[in-house]
Amino acid sequence: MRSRLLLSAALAVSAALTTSASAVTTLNVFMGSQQRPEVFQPLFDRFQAANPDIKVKIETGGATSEAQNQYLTTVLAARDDTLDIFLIDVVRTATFAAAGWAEPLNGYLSGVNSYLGSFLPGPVSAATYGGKLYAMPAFTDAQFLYYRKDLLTKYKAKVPTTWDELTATAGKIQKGEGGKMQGFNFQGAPIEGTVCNFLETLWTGGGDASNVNSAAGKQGLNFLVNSVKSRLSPAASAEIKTDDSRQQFQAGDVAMGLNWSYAWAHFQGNSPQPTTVKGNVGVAPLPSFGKNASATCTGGWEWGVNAYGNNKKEAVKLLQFMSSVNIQREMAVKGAYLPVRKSLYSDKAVLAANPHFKALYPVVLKARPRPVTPNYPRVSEIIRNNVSAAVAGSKTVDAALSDMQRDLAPLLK
Amino acid sequence: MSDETAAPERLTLGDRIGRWAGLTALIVGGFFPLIWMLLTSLKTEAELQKFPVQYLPGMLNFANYARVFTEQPFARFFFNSMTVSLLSTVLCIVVAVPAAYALARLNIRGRGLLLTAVVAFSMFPVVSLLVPLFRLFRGLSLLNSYPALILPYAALSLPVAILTLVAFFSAIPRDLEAAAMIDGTSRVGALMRVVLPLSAPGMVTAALLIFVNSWNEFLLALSFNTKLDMRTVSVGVTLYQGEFAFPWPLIAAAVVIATIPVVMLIAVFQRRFVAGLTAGGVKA
Amino acid sequence: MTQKNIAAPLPRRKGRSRGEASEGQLAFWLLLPAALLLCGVLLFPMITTIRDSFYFNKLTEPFNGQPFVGLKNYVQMFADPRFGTSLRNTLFFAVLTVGGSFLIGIPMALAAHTPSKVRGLARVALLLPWAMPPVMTGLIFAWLFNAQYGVFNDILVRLGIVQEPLLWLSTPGLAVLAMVVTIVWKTSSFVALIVLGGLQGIPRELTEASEVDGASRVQSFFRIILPLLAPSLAVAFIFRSISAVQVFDIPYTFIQQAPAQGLLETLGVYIYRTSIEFLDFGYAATLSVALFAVSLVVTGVYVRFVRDGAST
Repeated sequence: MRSRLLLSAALAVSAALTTSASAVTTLNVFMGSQQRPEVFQPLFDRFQAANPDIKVKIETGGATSEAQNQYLTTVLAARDDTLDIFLIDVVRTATFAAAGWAEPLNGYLSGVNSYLGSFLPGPVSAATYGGKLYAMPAFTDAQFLYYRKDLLTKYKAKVPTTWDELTATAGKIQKGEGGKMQGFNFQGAPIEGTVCNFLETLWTGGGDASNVNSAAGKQGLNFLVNSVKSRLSPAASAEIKTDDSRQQFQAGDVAMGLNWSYAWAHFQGNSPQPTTVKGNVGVAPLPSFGKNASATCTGGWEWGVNAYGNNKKEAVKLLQFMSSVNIQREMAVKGAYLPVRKSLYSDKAVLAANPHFKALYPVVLKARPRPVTPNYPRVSEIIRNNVSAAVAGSKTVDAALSDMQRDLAPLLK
Repeated sequence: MSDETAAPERLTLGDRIGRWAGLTALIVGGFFPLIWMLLTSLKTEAELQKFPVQYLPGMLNFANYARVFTEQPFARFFFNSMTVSLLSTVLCIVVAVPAAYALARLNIRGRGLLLTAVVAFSMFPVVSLLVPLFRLFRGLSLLNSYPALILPYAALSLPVAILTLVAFFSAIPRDLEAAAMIDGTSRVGALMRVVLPLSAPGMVTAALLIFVNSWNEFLLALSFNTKLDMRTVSVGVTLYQGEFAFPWPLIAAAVVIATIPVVMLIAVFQRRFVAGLTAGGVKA
Repeated sequence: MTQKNIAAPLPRRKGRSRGEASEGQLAFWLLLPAALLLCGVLLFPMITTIRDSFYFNKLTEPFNGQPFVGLKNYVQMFADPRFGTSLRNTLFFAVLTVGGSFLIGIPMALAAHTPSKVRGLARVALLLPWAMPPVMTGLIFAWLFNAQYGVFNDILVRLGIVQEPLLWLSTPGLAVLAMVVTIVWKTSSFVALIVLGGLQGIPRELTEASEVDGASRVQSFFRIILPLLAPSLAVAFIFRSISAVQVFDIPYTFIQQAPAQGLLETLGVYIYRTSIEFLDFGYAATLSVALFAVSLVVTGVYVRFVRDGAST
């Protein structure tokens, strides 16, 4: 009995000693090597300077979204507490939330609704699952319609606001220019960009992912498939990936195309390939069918807090710092990241560095998240394989849509 | 073995043509994708997006090779891979030789069952072993260390190493061994002096298999050794991509660096080692 | 396992009294390190996997807990059309690529074995495909097969064999062909290496003697060399089959390039998706056990063969 008492006393003392010794908390932040850790490091340094009791360490994973996911899954399935914060793709929110890997942040943020009120709605709803916020938006992204200003002027055409106008205008340009000119370029390979392209044609026709085998679904997928059949889009569209789209546009071979925000900097000359379109690129909201509203996919990344971690309070503190106006401004100015706060799209410093953000604002404001469900990996797989097969012509539009509907229904109910 | 010094053979014209066709096909087929990577590594990205394809680079541009080392600590990756692959090869061979000898030569009950059990260890997909192994190694505080990769690599290659060696040991005439043992050599002595030298090609083959298996492994390396200075080449070559961009010239340079020196090293080692071992051994 | 398969005991040194027991003891000590390494590292994860296959363990549904479900996962598996498809694809690719890698690998080894001025180069060529980082191999070939900038299309167009570039990856049949070519290219090296090792173990005098006897080269290959290579070929076959059944990285890459998932998805890819992406660890474990069983069946016959071969 006595020895047990002594033992517990000793344990208590040693516990007290360790707490006082570890007054400095170290936050381990995981991000992919493609997320440019060198941009984040100085920001973390400033956070450390302001919070001397917290150290921030970056751990970089593989360079692709898949490699990172593979690593995070391994670590978190083993309930590891080493990482405190992870930078994840917005489509992962619900999975991480349902698995209990991401800590809900509501309890850590006072007045969470008013706090989030100044954020863009797209990234916030992408980070929300079951009414709770499971991640802090880090930077956002969306798909835009890129077009050639010089060609529109040459052919005396306006920026299309409907897909039919786009077909007409792009067709006219393609015919007039001849050669390798593509009228319309989109992603058709079985990748995430293709999921977005399809959802966008669905949404801008008034449809919804819960009912793809509908008039809107048919109209949307037919538009993509017919673009290939009529050679408005390349025959190899079912093999085109995001960066292929970017490179072909940059080489001057595309009149209009869909892509994420990263393409802009490349078009303006900040790129390993030469650009032939500098100064001639315009950005616009995606067209729609008839009178429906324009829509686009929310992309971007968000900070999750490891539910098994030991430093959640400190972690949330860092996240609030990262989403503060000053830091978001700095990320926009120095790294051209799209801010998650609305006010920054009219900020002088931000617009001085990125004049095109003004044109992007109405688009990101209307961006919608892809289905927020723990089964998103399955949802994505079903959509991208069927859409890609339809674009390739190896599956009819009707078969692709009814297969999609059949497989999606149990996942999205 | 003895073929290194074989006298020139009498060949018909047909033999010659067949032989050269075979050699040409082998060399062209084996080298082709790597030559393509070599050419790519010297090109600019704009030169890649052409059809008809532009095969030769406009100018020789070795900048990508420098970038491989400046953008990531690739030399460190290389050192890590070398260390891990060499040590797992040594560990695996040291463990496999006695086991293979026992399975090939000794009077063991249920040997078929034992062989099947050994092979069965390579029949589970590594991805299903990933999370339990991660837990195990975390428990042993082995994450971010060389043993975290050496141990599983040696274990994963052990079945193929043992079976390769069993095949070679079995092919050595028993009389030779028996003769040595009658001469008063112990069983272990016979193994060292007769069986091992004669099975040198088998040992080298096994070592090669283990080494390259370890050099190439990706899944465990990605998950167990996450500190940048503990990364291996197989993970390292993937670190040059962007979120969307895939800078082929740079990645091609990394692939060339990850592949050529290793293959050269193996080729040299193979010749020396086979020659050395056979020189000291008994001729069959 | 039967007595007749067991090797005739070697003549022993003096002290027959130590006899059988000492041989058994020696075998025990010789086998111990291997057993420790295999069991120490792999047994625990393997048992965990087998155990998990009888449990529900879906990380996206933590509210369902991790109850013991008996054979439910197995019942689900046999009713799962995707399991059927991926198993069929796996066997289809295994037959084609194992066959292909032997058809190519054996001549490769013979070519690299014959004395010539370029033998060093030939041996490097034999190793290269296998030593190329596997994560990159699929990407490199997908690029070679690319519809817009691919080398293969370029060659076909230049030679006038096709007018328009082929859509290799987005035409289902061609995508299957492209994947088979890639896997065979990568794995023939493995077969060639083992066969080359076997060839080096055959004394040249044997083949020369048969040629003196007037046998043609082809005859001497089939009569003398092939039987001597049998143990090496069996080892190559066993491990090529196992890795063909598990094949993962090349199909995984191709599936992201080619809209023919139904034709290209192998069991290895399905297991990866089920565990790492769908987070259904219970079902993934069941699929892994199935893959284990398939490997066991495919190789069982040949293990028997090696065992018999080893003891003669």
